[in-house]
Amino acid sequence: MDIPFSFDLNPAREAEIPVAIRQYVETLDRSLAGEVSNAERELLVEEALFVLESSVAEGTLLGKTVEEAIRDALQEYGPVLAVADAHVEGFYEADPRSPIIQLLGRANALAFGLFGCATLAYYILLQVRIYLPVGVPINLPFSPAEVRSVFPEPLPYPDLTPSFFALLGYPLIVPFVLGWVVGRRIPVHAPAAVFRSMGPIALCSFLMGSLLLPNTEGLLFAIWQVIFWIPVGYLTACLSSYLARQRRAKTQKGTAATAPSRTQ
Amino acid sequence: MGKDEGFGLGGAQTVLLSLLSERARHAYDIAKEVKRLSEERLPFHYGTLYPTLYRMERDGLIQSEIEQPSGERKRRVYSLTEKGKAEADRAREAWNEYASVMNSIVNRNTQAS
Repeated sequence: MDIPFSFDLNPAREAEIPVAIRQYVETLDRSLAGEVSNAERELLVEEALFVLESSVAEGTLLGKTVEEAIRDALQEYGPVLAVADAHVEGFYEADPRSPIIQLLGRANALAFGLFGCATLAYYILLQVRIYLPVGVPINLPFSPAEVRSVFPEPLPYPDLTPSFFALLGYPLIVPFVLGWVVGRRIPVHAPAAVFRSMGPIALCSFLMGSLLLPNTEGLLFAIWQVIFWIPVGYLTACLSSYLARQRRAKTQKGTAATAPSRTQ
Repeated sequence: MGKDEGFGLGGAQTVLLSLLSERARHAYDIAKEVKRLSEERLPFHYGTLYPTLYRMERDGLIQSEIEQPSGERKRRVYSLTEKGKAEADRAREAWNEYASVMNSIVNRNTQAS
């Protein structure tokens, strides 16, 4: 393969960047799109080119062929997506607004805040359900007989109050919604942030559930968080994060098609 | 040391503090110096280097500025802050203490004979 290459680092000669390095930095550029400012992106791509070109120059001086030197330089620089993730995470975590956020990390703090608030809200709901004195049950616009015509015994249908549906529906929906939000808001390692934040939250839920005994709803909720919220939140964040990346890459491709690329 | 083995983030930070205490360096210079000093026994991927640099900058240990020598590409040059210099001294002392203790335990039979 004939790869035009020059050791001249003059940016004016960018047409002479080897194909493999050009592809690498273009992928890096696309992976950074939408996550760091254009000026920073340009600097990071320039720096990657500087490192790769310098490594290739050094490799050839040590007697490697250009192809070998390029291959070794790219291998040493690391997988392009891992490098892009390192940059994106670095910028995302930069300038923490409080010591707590600095301690936890911005991504963990966001995931912990969202899932923690959702858990707290559920416990408030649970407290209301268990302790609020209600003289007359709030009925949905269906009579038990109408419901039983659709869902006959022995399907469980303890009551028709909105609080029952809230207690049942809320824990089912929350991990999907919050997993999706976390995946969108945190650019890198969003699923890991869900996993890390849900550990202490589930532990608190077990403690809260123990305090609510002999009512077992609290403990059931804690178990539900471990077996449902953690995996569903994790997987939804994976999906959401993946789709967000795909969208950014498509947007960047569209932008690159209408404007001359920096590396061309 | 195996190809995929590196060193933990704490170790990486100690190495970076030590290298930057000599002078300001860019990422390529740091990686090259690690390779040279370790005789290529410490593989230092940029995917590891950058998170450590960002974290150290966030912790106020290092600062960076953009450099572009004439006719060359732009790059970020890192240098120690005052807090970083103090941390470099502390890390060096801690490392020497650790190495000394470990050496006296692990190599006690060799030293005795």
